[in-house]
Amino acid sequence: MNVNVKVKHGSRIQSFYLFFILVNIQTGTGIIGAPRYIYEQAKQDGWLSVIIAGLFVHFVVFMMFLTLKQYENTDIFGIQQDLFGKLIGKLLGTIFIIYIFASLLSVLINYIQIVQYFIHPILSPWLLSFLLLILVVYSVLGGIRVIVGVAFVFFVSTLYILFFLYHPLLEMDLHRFQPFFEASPMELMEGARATSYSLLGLEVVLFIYPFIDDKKKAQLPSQLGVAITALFLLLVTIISIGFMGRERLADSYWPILIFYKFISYEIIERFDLIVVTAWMMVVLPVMILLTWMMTYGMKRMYNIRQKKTLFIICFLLFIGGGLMKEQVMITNYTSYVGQIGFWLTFIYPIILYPLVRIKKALKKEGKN
Amino acid sequence: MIRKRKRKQLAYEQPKTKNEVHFPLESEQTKQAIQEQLQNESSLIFKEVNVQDQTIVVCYISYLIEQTQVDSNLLAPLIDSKEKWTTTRLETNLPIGNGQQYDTIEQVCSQLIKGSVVVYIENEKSAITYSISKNERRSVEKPERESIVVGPQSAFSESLETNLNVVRSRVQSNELVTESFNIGARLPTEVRLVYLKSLANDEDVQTMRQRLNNLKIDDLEDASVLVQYIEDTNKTVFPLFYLTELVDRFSYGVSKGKIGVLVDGSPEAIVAPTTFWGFFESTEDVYFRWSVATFFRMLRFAAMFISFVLTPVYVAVVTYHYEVIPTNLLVTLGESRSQVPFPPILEVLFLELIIELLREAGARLPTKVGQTIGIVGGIVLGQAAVDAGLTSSVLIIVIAMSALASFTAPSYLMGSAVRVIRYPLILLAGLIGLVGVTFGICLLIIHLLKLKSLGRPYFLPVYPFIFKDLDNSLFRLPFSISNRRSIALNTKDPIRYQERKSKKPKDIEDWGE
Amino acid sequence: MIRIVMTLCLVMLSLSGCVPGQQIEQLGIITSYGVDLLDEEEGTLDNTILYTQFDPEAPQPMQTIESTSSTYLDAISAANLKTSYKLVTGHISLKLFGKEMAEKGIMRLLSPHLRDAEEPANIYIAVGEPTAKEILMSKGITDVSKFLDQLFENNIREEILPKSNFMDFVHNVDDPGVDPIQPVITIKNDKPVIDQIGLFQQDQYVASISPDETFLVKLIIEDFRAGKREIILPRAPFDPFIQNDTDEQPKEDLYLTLDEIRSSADISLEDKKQLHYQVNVDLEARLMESSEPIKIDSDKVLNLLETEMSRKFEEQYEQLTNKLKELNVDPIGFGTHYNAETKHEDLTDEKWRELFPTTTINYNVNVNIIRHGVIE
Repeated sequence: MNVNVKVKHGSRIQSFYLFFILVNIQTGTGIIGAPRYIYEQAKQDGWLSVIIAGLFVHFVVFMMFLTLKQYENTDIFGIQQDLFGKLIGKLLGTIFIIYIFASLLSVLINYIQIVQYFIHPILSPWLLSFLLLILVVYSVLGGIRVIVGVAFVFFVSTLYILFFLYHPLLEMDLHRFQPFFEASPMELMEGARATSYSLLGLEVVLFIYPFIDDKKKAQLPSQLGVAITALFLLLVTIISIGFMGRERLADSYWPILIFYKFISYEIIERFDLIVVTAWMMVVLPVMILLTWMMTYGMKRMYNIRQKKTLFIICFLLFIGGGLMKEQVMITNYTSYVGQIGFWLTFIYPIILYPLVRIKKALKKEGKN
Repeated sequence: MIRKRKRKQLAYEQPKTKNEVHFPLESEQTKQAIQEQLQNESSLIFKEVNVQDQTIVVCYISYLIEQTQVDSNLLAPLIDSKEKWTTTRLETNLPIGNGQQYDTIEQVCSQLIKGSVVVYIENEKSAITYSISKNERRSVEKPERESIVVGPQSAFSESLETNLNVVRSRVQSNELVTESFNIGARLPTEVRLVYLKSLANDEDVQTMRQRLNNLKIDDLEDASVLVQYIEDTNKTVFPLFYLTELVDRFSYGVSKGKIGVLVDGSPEAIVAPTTFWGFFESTEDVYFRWSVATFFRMLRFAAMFISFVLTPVYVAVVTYHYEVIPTNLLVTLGESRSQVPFPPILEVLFLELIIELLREAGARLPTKVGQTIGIVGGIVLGQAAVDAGLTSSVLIIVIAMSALASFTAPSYLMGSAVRVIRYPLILLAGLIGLVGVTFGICLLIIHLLKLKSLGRPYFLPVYPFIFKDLDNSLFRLPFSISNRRSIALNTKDPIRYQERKSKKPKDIEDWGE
Repeated sequence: MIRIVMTLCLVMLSLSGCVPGQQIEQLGIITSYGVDLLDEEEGTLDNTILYTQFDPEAPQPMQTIESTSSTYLDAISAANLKTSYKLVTGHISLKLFGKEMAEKGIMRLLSPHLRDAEEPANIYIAVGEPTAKEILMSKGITDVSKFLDQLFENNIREEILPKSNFMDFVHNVDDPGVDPIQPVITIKNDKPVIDQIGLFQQDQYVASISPDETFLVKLIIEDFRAGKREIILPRAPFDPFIQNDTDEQPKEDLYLTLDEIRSSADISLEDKKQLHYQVNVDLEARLMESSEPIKIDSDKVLNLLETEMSRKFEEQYEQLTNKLKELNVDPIGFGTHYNAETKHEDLTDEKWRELFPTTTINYNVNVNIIRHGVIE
């Protein structure tokens, strides 16, 4: 395996799509439940936690680009091999892939949960995961360009969901934010950590970097993408605190969908159903991107055909999606994924950078 | 799959003629050879003219040529000649153009059946043919399938020459290239590749040329058949090339840097590459003011969306999601549904089937009968179905609306595609409700993202996103702003004309200095 | 390989089957739910359910079912036994609680509502006096649900009723230091009418106040956009400005109507220890009607009117505050202001009940008449 990757011109993507990729992969299902966990930690100052988390994520992205710029055209696997050698590099890569699989599974089962709760309580999880996986397979088969297209088009076509938030935004009770700054710094940090599940997915930058056409311009769209996700999360957290109040927020798994329940129009009486179905278009790009990352990683490390990995992964997901049913189990599983993800996507890239620099310095010395 | 296609191509390999008959020949031999080649065509006319001790054979198929032309321009000068004829003299001294020499009987015969007269001087090395074909063809008429209100009203006819003629007269430029191809081994058809040399992207032209060259088939029925042979993929319901009968649509495409293909004998021309959005563009949009045109184009997009979403949503909502319907509407819907003995999905399929039958019957029947069928079907059947308690009255409106919406697409092929997509969506809606509908829409979008037209993404300019191209596809802007050709087409000259820059921002009152 | 996976998936699919549908014509759509207390000790409930069914033969789609149960969900399933339609709760627009029931607390019956995704969020909560059953079964009207729904909607839009939606109720119960107010419905001439506005301590009905008093509460908790209000002032100060052409005995009071009221109010906690509040209300309005012809030709008259009105309002506020303190109910939410100002001290409702009677509240109402219409 070479450290650097050669990518055909036909499968390169422009850098501004990174914006959509990042917004999409980060939003996923996490955002629906996040305000509750943030509120649990930081109470009415939860919005501050989100801002802290947002700033931290910016820093992580910055570090990722710094690391990647040290190489010509590489990804996480190349970096790991360069740093730790073949064996440990592969081991770390495999851990990464297993983690991605876990987070993909969590997205799938969480979405199934939501659909079961809001739309069809007796809908078979097998059926729903089968349908979702058909879409995943179909678009991953199209290659990176189609995948990015799906992320882009689905993002644009689900933006309207956001617009309807004006209703709960106007109904907020600002007293619920007072007294300001009550939470201790520790609580704020804990709150910021609670956002980790909903901000996961940054690692996509480390995978997709070799495919970017104009790498010099890649930093800005990524930072913007991260900023927009953090803003979404901030908006949603603010509305949750202001609109739902304490007990309700602590009580509901999916606070965001609760606000949509309050929106009704002359033609559509219940908006939550529409949002839950449309959320499929938010969840799909995440699943597709994660699946692609895995197939790509397997090909990169073990030279396994992407199609083969794709079908195996989808089969495993299908089994996982059908079997995981209990709410408590899913909640615990999700929080585990969030915790592991916190270390792997937020802390690990920061550690990588100094290691790369040290390695480079050593090499230079060796030459001299 | 690929292997199969290869085998098919082999089967279409040109049948090799065993023994070609070469000139020179005796007049009697010539006659026999031609008779044999043309399977004893009974309208084949042989005339032997004896001038200056030479025997000259004049041969033609009587119904294919202009008899008066033969008499006055060929036979008369031939007989009146004071000198001996040679093949070269025939070519220069006869008052008919387009004389061509051939030296085998086979070649001569292929000219004969195209409407040529063969003149052969006995024992010469080659025969000469003149094309004096009789044009028993439709003249340029009004468009029937793609009728428009504003703008030029001429449609293509079945004759390639007429079509080239009208295209040339609309695109008057010496840069217009019309490359000729002969497609079909047994029954060859002439196909012309039309593009503007200074605009069209070379790569696209090369792709199209290659696809035409690589096409090894037995015969070619029509342009719509050619499209199916050379499209990027056939695993889709969407048309990938634009088929049009409108001359102005074709020439508009060519003048914007697209590539056109004309097929002899087909009243439809191909324009490529196209995008998904292009199928909702009408040339009328160019003739209308930009604001009106934008409104209409948006209306068409909305109509398309309504057309394939409305009935599935009805099925989903009525079967699964009663909560979504507002209470007042729910009462109306519920009352009309309570009469119907079928589940919503069957009810919808039943009514959709009626509409499709009406459309199909209306298309097959002569115009006048077709109209009556439309009215009778629309009003009487619908009313009767409601009275009989087979469908609910609300559904009639829903179905009528979606059918109507599907007919707003300027391209009939796209309209049909949209109608076809509706059925799987209805089934999905009936099986799992709105989740199924969303699934269907997602699948559709992914499918559209994967499609390519002549190697270019079908979903342009939405994805890959080209902001500056949106005004050429999703909406229209005034010409003073939209002065560019589509960037996605990669034309050689992207600027149509320089932007007019106003010198100074105007104040409310200017003194005219 | 691929084929094996696909067939396996298909087998799974066919095993799992599809989703059972609920076609609307087979549903009985519950529009209102009323509940009264049947037996206080056992806690059994007397439920009245109004629902719409789509029966082409039935003379009217509205139907009524009664059932007894001890929980809300059980009430629905008990009622389901009495109808051929499947009762669904996705379109409930009103939950009406009999007075006795309301006094016991109603949150218990509302909590399934919060958990069940099917139930709509936009419903009205009201108290029925004497019982919810009597109101839902009132004979004067064919479609009680629709009538009540529009009754609430119109009166909220006309800014007569305060917002009494389900979410407002739940929020006011949840948030410490504020109590909900919900309309009370009674029967007059066989028709349900909104007579009083009920005050709650948390989720327990305590007492009711008149629409006039409600206006005062609403003036503080919501901003008016185009309200309407009659006000009675003593006639004496205005005597010089009244042109009395008739020989009638002059009345003692002057009735004035304010229209297009726009208001804004703010509460400030002046003293955290002593719990001293200052409430400022600014009110802009148009004088529409007057029982006596007052000649308003100078600022003086207008100013007099404004100060008299302000004083009147302030008086009324004093009375209202005393009443609220006596009942120990805080619909205005002084407690939330207290909670917002104090850090590191989680206010509970119990604590606020102790504190509320000790507060002192000073009102300052500023009336501004911007137009006086046709009256001169």
